[in-house]
Amino acid sequence: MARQASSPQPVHSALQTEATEEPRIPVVALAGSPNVGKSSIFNPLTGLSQHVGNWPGKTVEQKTGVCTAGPQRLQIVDLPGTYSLTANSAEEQVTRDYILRERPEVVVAVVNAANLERTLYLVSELLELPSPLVVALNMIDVAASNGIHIEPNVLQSALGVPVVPLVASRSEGITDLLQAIESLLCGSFAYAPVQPNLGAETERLLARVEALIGDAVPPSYPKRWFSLKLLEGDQEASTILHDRIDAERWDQLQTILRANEDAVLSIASARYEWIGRMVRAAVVRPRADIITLTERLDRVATHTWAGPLLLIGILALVFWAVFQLSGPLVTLLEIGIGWASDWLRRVLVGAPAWLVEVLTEGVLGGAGTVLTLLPVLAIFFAAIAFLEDVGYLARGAFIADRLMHHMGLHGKSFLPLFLGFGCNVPAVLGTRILDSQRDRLLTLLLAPMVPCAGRIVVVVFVAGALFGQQGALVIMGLLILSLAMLVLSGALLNRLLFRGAQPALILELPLYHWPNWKTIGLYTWQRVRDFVTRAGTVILGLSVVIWALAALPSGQMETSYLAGLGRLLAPVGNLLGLDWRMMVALLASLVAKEQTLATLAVLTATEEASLSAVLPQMLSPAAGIAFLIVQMLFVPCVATLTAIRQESGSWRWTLFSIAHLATLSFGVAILAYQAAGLLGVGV
Amino acid sequence: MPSPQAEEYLEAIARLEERGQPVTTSALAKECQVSAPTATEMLRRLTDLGLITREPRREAILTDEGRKIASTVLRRHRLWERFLHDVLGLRWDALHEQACELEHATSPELEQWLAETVSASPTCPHGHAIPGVAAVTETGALAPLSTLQAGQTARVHSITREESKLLQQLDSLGLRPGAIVRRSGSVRSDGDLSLTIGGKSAHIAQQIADRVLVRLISDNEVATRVVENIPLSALAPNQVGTIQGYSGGRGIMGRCLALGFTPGAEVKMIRNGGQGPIIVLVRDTRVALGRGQASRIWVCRGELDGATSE
Repeated sequence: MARQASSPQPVHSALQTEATEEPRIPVVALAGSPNVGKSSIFNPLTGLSQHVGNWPGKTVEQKTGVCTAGPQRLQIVDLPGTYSLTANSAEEQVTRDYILRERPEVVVAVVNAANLERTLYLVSELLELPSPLVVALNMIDVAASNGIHIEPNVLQSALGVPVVPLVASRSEGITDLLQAIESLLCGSFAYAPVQPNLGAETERLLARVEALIGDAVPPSYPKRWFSLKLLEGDQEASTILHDRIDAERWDQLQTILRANEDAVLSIASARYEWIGRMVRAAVVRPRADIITLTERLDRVATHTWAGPLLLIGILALVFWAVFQLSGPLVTLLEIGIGWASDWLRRVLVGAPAWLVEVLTEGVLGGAGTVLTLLPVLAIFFAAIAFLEDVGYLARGAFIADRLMHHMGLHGKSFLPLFLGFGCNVPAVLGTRILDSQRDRLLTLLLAPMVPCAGRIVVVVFVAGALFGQQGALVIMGLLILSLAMLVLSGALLNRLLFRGAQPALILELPLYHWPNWKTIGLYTWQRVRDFVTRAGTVILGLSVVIWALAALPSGQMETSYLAGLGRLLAPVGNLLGLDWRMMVALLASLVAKEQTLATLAVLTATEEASLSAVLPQMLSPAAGIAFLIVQMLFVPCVATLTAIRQESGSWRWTLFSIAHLATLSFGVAILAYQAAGLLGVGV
Repeated sequence: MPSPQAEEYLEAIARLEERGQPVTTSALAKECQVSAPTATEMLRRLTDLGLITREPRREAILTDEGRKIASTVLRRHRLWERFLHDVLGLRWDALHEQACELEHATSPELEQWLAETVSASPTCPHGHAIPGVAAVTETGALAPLSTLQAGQTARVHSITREESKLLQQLDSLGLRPGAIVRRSGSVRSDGDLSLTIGGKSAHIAQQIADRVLVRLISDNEVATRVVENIPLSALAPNQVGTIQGYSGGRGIMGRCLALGFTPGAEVKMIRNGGQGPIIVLVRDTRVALGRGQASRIWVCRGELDGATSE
């Protein structure tokens, strides 16, 4: 296999060294910008053999899988989507570190035929790295429908690497791609990569830097590439070098870099100029007067007033669909759980009573909570995946940008926050898509304030029981209140924690295209599986603990540890007009938001009256409102808290979030209850 | 078909006509860099073939047949120049000679393919219109740069002589089609012209300025449309601009550059409501940019080639 002569010997990582006893399965890494359809190539290659995890030490998703469709088994690694290889974000760092340190046998660079110039930029950077490249020219169907016709052969001879046209969404060209990979692995393709010429001036500058620092560059990095990154102002390269070079040469280097601060501009321009020449040779462009589907749809979707209306309409439709469709499914699941519980009791006739109780009340009760949420989440995730896949979600972010600015965020934060309406856990995990640490942290702190499906279930039930016909108005009011609090908290936190800095939005709006049902299905499946393994296990475990707290030491709820805890909180409860049972129910929402209802049912259960009949007797309207306010704004469930801990990487911020939400929820609720008392309304 | 040599003469005649010069034997001899008797002999042969007619004052005029051939050759010549420059990256002072060789060996199919490949440009790299390619019509008379008055501003239209040395000189000065030039003062003592080219001051000899055709830009246009760099956020919907540079620190410049916002790149404003984020088209990609970021990218209104598609 022809590698560049200048490339240094591969550095074997611990992973690789372990595997040297057996012949290593060739590793193929998929790289590409966002919106090139990388996952639609990854999915057919690996089928359901995918493993989803995290890159070590990074909050970036790592997907791997094994491909058995070709002549030999291949290990496929899906690298995160990046626009370039300068260490602007964790994704970019993961991509380049992986290629440089793990040295995959082949890198498949996925480009979007409908956006060739821009997506070839990453290829122009990948060509500087030592791993052999195959260019996967994806979405030629989308390009054709936009009037763009591409000659893969011309591109192939211009780049000197194999170029394979694909329509991955229909699995067309996957076999050709595997053949191209095989031709590189067995050396039958005359691999002669062309490196972009960066212009005489830059090349001279590059040679100067290389000569100055050459021997100090770590062996895993190609020297030219490393020098290039220094000229581009790459922070990581600079830090690495600083520890390996003497002060005198460091100063010399800094002088060169300062004098050539514009090099980053000329390097990027030169790369695009190089790409431009290639593209002009290989691409037949559409007539300028063709009005594309994207253009027509965007006239509405990004319109000053039609855009927000459309966004609200789509969101309303999503919620309507989620609750319409999930209702019957939830009922079915509840019947199933009831049946399982009866069956357990019958099977365990001879077993000790406490064991039966743990299994039926604790385990099945907890599992029931998780399962009843599943249909809601699955439908919600499918709707999100659909909107994302057809290309609408980025438009939503654009429209939401102005609103998000009020809370010190930009439109991109809208995506994870919107996920929060389904479940706060994926909302917190979704903050990964944001570029800056600051945006991530702020969104992370706000995500638990989005009313999730679990909270809404409780609010709908309690408001219905207390206010009957007026319940819908109360629910509306609570939703508006909690969103207002979200915006207010955002503005305040931004001012306090980040001195009111304004974030920078830069977001690609992909071309609209027909949904790829496989991608949507797989995304939904992975999210749901993720929720079950993450939230499910936590909720299940804690349900058992709660059951134990409520049953021990005497087996009587009234005298249990949980009741004791609730009574401790009674003074706070008095300010809200809530007795200890309501306080315990609120605490139980820490396990899972809908656990509130289950706990209330247990605590207030009487033979003759159901929970919805008991509630109006226990709560005055004002106390009811106060209870609902706390329920809406309270500290999120444990699953969300663990996600916050994981994504922020700090206990401090997790505790901060708990303190913030506890203060806010009780503060607002106490204010509301006391105000009602002073005015003599609803007490 | 006429011989390559005959084609070359027809092409030269068409070029002279284009410039508005009378097609005399001496002018043609100079244009083709041959002696007068050679030119006379060629004109006679072209007349025999029915490709030109000669008027009493001995000026040659292309017949319909001759004009068709001339314009085809000219078209091929300029398409080749575009291709060699844009696709193969040849320097612009090396284009003319290469294109002269290639134009005679070009089949209609190849010509079609060339046209599709370089379809974006209505002119050759030296600024001359490619016959058969729809050009954007511009108003205002063309004049040599040397006739520019002090204080006047103009946009470079084309270079009349495609000689390597001249083109190299012009290139180093930044005097390419589309460049904005301002005459900054009166004639210097050495006879050179003082100019401001794209914001940098320079001076060039009178003979060189004679070879550069420019189109005057009115003061009104100078103030509002062309010369002034504006923040990207100030570009109106459907307006086109060329990126000039960045201000205010690196910020997310790296990400912007990777997405194609490089100096010289063309952007088209899609959405700009005066508040909130904007949407621009850059390198076929629609990108939403926050207003804050967009105000730190500087653009020059209009395209480099002087065609403003507003």
